[in-house]
Amino acid sequence: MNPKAKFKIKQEVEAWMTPREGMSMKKAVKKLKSLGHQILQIDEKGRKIKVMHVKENK
Amino acid sequence: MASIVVNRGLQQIGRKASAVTGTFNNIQVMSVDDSSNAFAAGDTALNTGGAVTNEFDAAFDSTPTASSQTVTHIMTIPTGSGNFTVRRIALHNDTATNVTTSSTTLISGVDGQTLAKTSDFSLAITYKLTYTSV
Repeated sequence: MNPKAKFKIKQEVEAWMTPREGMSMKKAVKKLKSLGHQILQIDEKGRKIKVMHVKENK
Repeated sequence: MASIVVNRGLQQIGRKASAVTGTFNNIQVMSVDDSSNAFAAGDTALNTGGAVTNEFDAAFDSTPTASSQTVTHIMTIPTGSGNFTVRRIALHNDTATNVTTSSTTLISGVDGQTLAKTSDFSLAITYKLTYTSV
């Protein structure tokens, strides 16, 4: 038996922006950059742009 | 930045899992707000650490999914809503109708973000909880 058995709940959060209908992905990326976003990933096919990824590694 | 499952959240998860007598709702809503206050273990509502000016919450897009020890929750904010700088993201165990800035519904949260959202975009947030041995 391990008398020190513990568990932890780790959190991981991602955020993806999708431009409104009619806005091109190119324009969307430019707009997001102007808003101060970091562009982490661009999914052209899915028309979405990843702007946040928080992950606990400990 | 704090990324924390608050004490209330731990209590609710444990009691729900072991079917302790009482009403313990499922985790079913995600919120975003523009508070610069860090989440703390003793928080029970979004405004425990200070007033919240702008907040948006909604039920998950669909039933959360699970793989091994990870449970995934997804919520999408439409173009017309949540148009402010998102600084905190949180999970709640009550309905969207009942979740407010002062409701005692908080389970967990991530703070210290700077996500400027405008009506040009919808925002989909994926929030994973992994239950792991340490």
